Amino acid sequence: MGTEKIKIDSDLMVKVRQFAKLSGYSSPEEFIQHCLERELSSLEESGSEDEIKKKLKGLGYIG
Amino acid sequence: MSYDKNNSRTMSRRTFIKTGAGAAALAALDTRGDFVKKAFGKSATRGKVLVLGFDGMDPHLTGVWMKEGKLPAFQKLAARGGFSRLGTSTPPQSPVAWSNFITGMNPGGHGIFDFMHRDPKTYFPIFSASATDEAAKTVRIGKYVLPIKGGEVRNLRKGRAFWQILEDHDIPATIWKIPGNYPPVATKQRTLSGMGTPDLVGSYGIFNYYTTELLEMNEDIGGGKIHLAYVIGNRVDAKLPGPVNTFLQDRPEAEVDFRVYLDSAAAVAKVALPDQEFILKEKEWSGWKRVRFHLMPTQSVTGLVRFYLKEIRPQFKLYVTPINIDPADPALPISTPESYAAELEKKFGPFYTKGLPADTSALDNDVLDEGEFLAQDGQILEESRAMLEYELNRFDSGLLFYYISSTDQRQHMFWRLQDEKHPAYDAALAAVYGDVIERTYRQADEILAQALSSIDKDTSVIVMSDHGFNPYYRSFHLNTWLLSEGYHVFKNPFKKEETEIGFPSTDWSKTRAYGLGLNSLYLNQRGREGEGIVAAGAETEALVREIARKLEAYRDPKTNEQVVLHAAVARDVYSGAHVGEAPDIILGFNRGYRISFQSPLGRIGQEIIENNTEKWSGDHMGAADVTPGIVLTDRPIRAEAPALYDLTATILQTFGIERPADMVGKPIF
Amino acid sequence: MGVLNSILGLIFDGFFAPFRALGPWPGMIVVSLVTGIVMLLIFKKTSNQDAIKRAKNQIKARLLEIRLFKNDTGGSFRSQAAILGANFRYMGHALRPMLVMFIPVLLILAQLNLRYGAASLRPGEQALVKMTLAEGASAEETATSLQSSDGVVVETPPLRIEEEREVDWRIRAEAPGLHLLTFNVGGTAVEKSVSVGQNAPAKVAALRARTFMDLFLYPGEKPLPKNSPVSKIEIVFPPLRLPLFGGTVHWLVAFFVLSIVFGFALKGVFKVEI
Repeated sequence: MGTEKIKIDSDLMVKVRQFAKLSGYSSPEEFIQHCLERELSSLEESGSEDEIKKKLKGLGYIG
Repeated sequence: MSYDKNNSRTMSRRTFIKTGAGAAALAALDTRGDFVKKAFGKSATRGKVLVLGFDGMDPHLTGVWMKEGKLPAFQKLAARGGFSRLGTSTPPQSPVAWSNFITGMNPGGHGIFDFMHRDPKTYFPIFSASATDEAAKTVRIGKYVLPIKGGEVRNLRKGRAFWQILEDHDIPATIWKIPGNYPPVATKQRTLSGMGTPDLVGSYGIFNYYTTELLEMNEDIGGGKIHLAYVIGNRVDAKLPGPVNTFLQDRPEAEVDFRVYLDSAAAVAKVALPDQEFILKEKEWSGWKRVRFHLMPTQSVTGLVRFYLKEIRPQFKLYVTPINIDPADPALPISTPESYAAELEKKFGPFYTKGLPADTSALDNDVLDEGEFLAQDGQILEESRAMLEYELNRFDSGLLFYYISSTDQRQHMFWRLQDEKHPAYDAALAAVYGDVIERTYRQADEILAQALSSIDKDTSVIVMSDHGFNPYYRSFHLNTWLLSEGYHVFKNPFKKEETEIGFPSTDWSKTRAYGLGLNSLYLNQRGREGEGIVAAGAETEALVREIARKLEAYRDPKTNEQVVLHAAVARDVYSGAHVGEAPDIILGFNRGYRISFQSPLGRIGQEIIENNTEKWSGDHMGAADVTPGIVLTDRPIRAEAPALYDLTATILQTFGIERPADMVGKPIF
Repeated sequence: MGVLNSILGLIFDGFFAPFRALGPWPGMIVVSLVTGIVMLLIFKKTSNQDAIKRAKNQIKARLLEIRLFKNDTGGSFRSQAAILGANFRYMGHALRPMLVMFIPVLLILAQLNLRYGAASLRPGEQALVKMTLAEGASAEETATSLQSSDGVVVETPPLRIEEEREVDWRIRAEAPGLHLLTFNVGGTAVEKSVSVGQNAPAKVAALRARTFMDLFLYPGEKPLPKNSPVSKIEIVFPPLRLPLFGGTVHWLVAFFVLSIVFGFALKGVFKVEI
C-alpha cells in the first residue's frame, strides 16, 4: 500500500494534532486516516446493511 | 389412538370439501374423477388432533400456579393425561425451537440455528428465517423501474413441515400462525404465517410516533420512528412512511399524508387520512384503518394500522402501529391457500398479521407505557381467541394447530415486575403489574378451557410451549470477552466504542473468533470466512474445545456465578444434512444471564458483563436444560424426556403415518 | 326543490316498498327495467324517429357502398365523409331526447343514491358526524352540543375546526331503527336522522343541507331552513356495495348496465328507433 501526500489547512492541523493526542491515536496521520475511513464507510454503506438493520428493527432481543 | 390409513383418507377428503373455503379449496385440490362423488355422504373418521402452542410457557410457573389451583383447565388435562417438561432446542430461540417442532429434526436437519446467521465472506449478519430476492430483471422507463421477472420471498428452513407430510396422506390440517412459517411453505393445507412475518415496510415491526416533545432519542430507534410534530393552528400535518417504492429509480419511501385536527379546549382530535376521517379522544385506540400507498399510476399497496392518541396537551403524542400486511389484499404471501387470509378478514375484519404483533419496542422506548402495551396485546389476544373459536367450530377432521404469542411477549416485558431481584424492578409499577404474567397464564388457561369445551371425545389434545422462561438480570458481551481473551483483535484498541455491524474495526488477520447472533460463536476459519486464519481440522477442533472450556469456566465477577452453563460444540449436539452451516459454538446461558443487546450484531460493551436495566427483562437464551417448555396431553406420557421434535413424531404416529428417515423425534406415548 | 323531493320520495318509497325485505337486487333490477322503458318512451316521443331512421339507413347504405366499391379509393373516401355527416345528423337527432332525459335521470339517480349509496350503521359501529355552520359563524364561539335519541350514543365532545366552520362528533349505533340527532347550535335546535341496522334498499340519508345542489343530490331529508345557523350536516356512513358473484359492484354501474340492457332488449317491443 503506497502513500500519498495531501495539503491541510494549518489551523485545522493544529486541532487535528490536539485531538489525535487526546484520543490516544499514535499519530495525527492515523487519526486523519481513521476519520476519512469512517466517513467513506458511511457513504459507502451498502443497501444490504440498510436492509439488515431495517429487517431486524423491532426484534426486541437486540439493541 | 391410531387410525386406519384408508379410513383417515376418506375422512380428510370429505372435510376438505366441506370446510375448504368452498370453491377455492375444491379448485386447489388435485381431484380425481370419482373423488367428489365418493367423498360426499361418508362419515368422517373420528380421530382429530388439537395442538395449542403457548409461546414461552414455563414449566416451573405453570406447575406452581397449577398447584395453587389457578389453572383449572391445565390441571384437569394433566390429571387426565400427562404434564411434563418439554425438551427445547439448542439454542432455545423461538425460530429454532418451532422449526424443531415443524420438522421433527434438530437444527442440523432444518438449518435454522439462531435468529441471525452470518455471511461468512463479509461477516455481516443475515436474517435466518427468510430471504427476499429482488426482481432479477427490471426495465427503466423514465423515472420508473419496472420489474420484468418478479422477485420472491423464500422460507430458508429446510426439511418438510409436518402438515406437508399430513397432506401426502390426505389428512387435512389448519396451522394458525405457527412461528417460522413465513413465507408459508407450499401446501394445500390452510396455513397462516406467524412470527417472522414482516410488516409492510419489510421489518420486524416499525411503529411511528408523532410528538411535539423533544425526546432524547434518535429519530430512528430500534423498532420505531419518532417524528417531531408541530401544532399549528390546532392542526398537525404528518406523513406515514410506507414501503420503499422500488418502482422509482432512487427508491424513496412511499408515504401517506395525514392531518390531525385538535379541538382548542377538549381532549379530542380528528385524524384525516386521504380517504377517511375519524375522531379519537385522548387515550383512545382507533379501530383498524386501511392505508393505501401509491407507488406508480397503476400500482399501489394497502396496509393496516391502528392509531393511539396518547396525549393532546400539553404535548401532542400520537402512536401508530407498525403497518400490518392487509390480509384482504396481502402484498406479501401470508397464507395458504392465498384466500385463507382473505377469508378470515372477511369474517373478522382486519387483524394483526405481523409476526409477534405486541409492540415491545414501543414499551422499551417509553412510547407506550405498561397499561398501553397491555391494551394493545389485549386486542391481539382477543382477535386470536375469536378466530380460535371459529376454527374450533369448523374443526371436524385432521389437525388444528393454534398459536398464542402473549405468553411469550408479556414474560419478556413484565418479568422485572414479578421479581424483586431484577435490576429493573420498580415497586410502584409492580403493585399494578406485578401479576401480569400470572394473569396471562390464567388467560391461557381460559383458552384451553374454551378449546376443551368445544372438542369432542375423539379429539386428542396437546398443549405445548417452545421453551420456558428465565429472568434476565445480567448481560454478557461475548465479543468483549473474546477481545479480553485475545481471540478477537481490533485494528486499534482505543476505538472500542465505534464497533458497528460487519465488524469494521476488527483486524481479521489476528482474529480467531467472533460472536454473532443471540447464542452463536464462529471461528474465523480459513477457506470459509472471508479473511479466515484458523485452519479447518485439528486446529479448529482444538480451538473450539479451548474456547468452549474457557467460556464455561468464566465466572461473573460480581456474583461468582457461572455465566455460560454449556458451550455446546455444534458437532456434538446437531445431526443432519446442515450441521456444516452451524455456528461453531452455541452458548447456553445460566439462569439470569443472556447475551447483551449489542453483541448479536457484533458490537461490544465497555465491560464484559453488566446489569440489564431494560424493560425487556425475562428471556430464554439459556442452556436447553434450564429453559424447557411444557407439554400437556390427554394421554399419559411414556417418554422419559419428551422434546419438541418428539411431538412431531407423535402427531404422525397418531394418524398412522410412518416417520420419515430424517426425523429424529420419537413418539411420546 | 324541497317539495319536489318530498313528492319523488313518496313515489320511490311506494315503488321500493315491495322490495324492502328482498335484499338489494330485486329493487335494483325492477327500477332499471322501469327506467329503461321510460327512457325508451321518452326517446320515442321527443325524437324525430323518421329522421333517425333515415340517418341510420344512410349510414348502412354508405357502409355497403364502401364494401362493394372497395377498389375505388375516391368513392370510398366520399362514402366515409357521408357516413361522418350522417353520424353527426344522427347524434343531433338524439340530442333533444338526451336533454329532456337529463334532469329526470339525475333525479332518479339521487333517489337511488339515497337507497344504494350508503350502508346503514350496524349496531356497535361508529360514525363521524360533521356539522358545518352557516357563513360568517365561528365554530369556536358558537355554543354547540349534540343529543341523541335511544339507539345512538354520542361518544365525544364537540371537535371544533374553526377555519372550516365545522364541528364534529363521533357517534356509535346501538340498536336498529331510524334515530334522531338533535344539535343545539347557539340556542337553535337542528335535527338529523341516523339510520341503524336497515338493509338496502332502505333510505340512508347521509346529508341534510341547504344549498340547491345539495338538496338536488341528497333528497333524503327536509332541507334546512334558510335562516338556520347550520349550512349542512353530514353523517359519514360506510359506502354500500352490491354483492355480485362473490365480489361487489357499485350501484351506479349495476343501474346503468341493467337499464341499458333492458332498453336495447325492449326497443323492438316498443318500436323505438335508437
